Amino acid sequence: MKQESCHPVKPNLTPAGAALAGFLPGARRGGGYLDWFPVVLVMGMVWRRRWWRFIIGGINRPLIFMAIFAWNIGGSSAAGGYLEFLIPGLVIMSAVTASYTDLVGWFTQRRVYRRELDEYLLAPISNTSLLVGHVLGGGGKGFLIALMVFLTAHFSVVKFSFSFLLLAQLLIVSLAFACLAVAVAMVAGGDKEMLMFTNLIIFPMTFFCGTFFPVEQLPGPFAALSRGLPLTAATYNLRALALTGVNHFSWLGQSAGWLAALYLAAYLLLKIKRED
Amino acid sequence: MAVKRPVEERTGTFAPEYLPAVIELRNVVKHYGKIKAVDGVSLLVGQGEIFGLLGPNGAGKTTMIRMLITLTRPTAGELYVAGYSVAGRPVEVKRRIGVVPQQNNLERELTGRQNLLLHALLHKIPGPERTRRIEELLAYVGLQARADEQIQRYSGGMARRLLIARAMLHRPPILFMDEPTIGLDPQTRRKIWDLIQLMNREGVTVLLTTHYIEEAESLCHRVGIVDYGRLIALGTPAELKASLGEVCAEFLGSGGTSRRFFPTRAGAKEYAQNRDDDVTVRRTNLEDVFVELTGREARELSSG
Repeated sequence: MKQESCHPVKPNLTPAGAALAGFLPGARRGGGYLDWFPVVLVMGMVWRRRWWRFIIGGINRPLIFMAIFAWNIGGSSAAGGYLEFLIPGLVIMSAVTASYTDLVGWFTQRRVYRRELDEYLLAPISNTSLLVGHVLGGGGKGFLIALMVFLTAHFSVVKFSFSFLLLAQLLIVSLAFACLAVAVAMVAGGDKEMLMFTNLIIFPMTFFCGTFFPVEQLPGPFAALSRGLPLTAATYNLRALALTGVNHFSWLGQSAGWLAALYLAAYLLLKIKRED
Repeated sequence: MAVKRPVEERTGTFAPEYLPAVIELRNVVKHYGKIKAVDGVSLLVGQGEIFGLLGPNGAGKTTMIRMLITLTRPTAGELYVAGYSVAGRPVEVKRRIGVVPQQNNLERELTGRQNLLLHALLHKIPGPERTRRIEELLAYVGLQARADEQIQRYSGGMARRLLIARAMLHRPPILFMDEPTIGLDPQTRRKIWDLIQLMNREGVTVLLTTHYIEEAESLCHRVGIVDYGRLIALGTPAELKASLGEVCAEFLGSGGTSRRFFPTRAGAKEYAQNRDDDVTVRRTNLEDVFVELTGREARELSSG
């Protein structure tokens, strides 16, 4: 018998390929779970091993801000008002930090240096599953950390309203910044570039998107720019939900729009850059 | 050994006569900017072969493997694995290949068993079968006793064995191994060789890259020598050595070490007797083939 080439006879399948298909017991069968589940499971297993580090790392900054302001601006009604203003912003900040910062580091390390990402890229799962797994893992962690900060503030500093829409707003912003983390990690060539993106995008947003002062106090064009950013809508809506229980669908919609846009950006970058 | 002489050398496609090809590269080119990492390589690897890509660091071996395993897109050319187009049906290709990467890419904060579990879940191996296969493979690579330790406590050899177990977990018929024994001590290296041969006996086709001459010579049915992104020679180790001459006469001349090749030992001895300087007569090895073909000393294999 002469050598047979792998050249496809039917669409991309040769007799050799067909014969080999019988060599795969169980590989095609479903496991009763979605393809992204193993990605979330691994993130969970790693984080479970070092849960205390992740929790302390996630809540320490907002709690320090909270403690500093609570102790230093006194117990006047104006001071109390400022704390009510500040805390929802800090909750959003902790959601962003915990979902974005950890995931961008996780993804960049695994893509560029340690190459664990190759294990996922070599698995028969789609780009969508890979992205959804990472976004759910990273965003879910951000959501939990932010919830801890919120509940700590609720039981120790200011009584807030608690609603399903507040949780939804928190989840949306956590997932949106997890998408941004994957997008940045697909572009960053290493730690330095990752840090540059973080300093360029995340750091200014935490200060100029209504966390510490209303964006209306910014000069005109900057205020307009700030209102269009993902953090501003989320901060304003969470603040409204926490303080008055009133949801602003325009802000919630803007947050959801950012989630969709950042998901699309992350998906496209993952698709384009994964085979470079 | 089932693989026979290469044919069709004129076209640059080297094919064993008997086996259906399960890996095929057709005029594959990969550029990174102005650098040609792979430069028009065509190659067929038959089912059941252990095929070695031998060459120095930076020769293009890893790029070839990364293109075959769907991780890198070629600039030009076509690749087929297990009958499927790598570009057109990557998921089908992924179901049929196992990959042992050069770098340890195990989740180091997880245990050995957890790493295998992750792989089994990613490949959707059903529950009871998943547990059975994980235990089987841990025993196969001799890591049962250390399976519940974190990877960061594993030695290089243990990690390498676990990488092999992971690659075999979904029972792929084709295994790609990128420098499978790099950085390992001789004893561990031989254990890995045994594992590779054992898997091959069970029907697994193995394509490995190496820059260890000894590894290519003792393990591979056929070897392709790669230099500057080109496949410059291909055949069984015996054929490649025979192409120079079975016996080598080596001596230190004014321009460094020189070698002459002869079909018989008698011819080499006669040549040695007619020279004034000390001449060593020995069997030709793959290192000689590499040096003759590339003009580079074999030590450059490892220094890159």
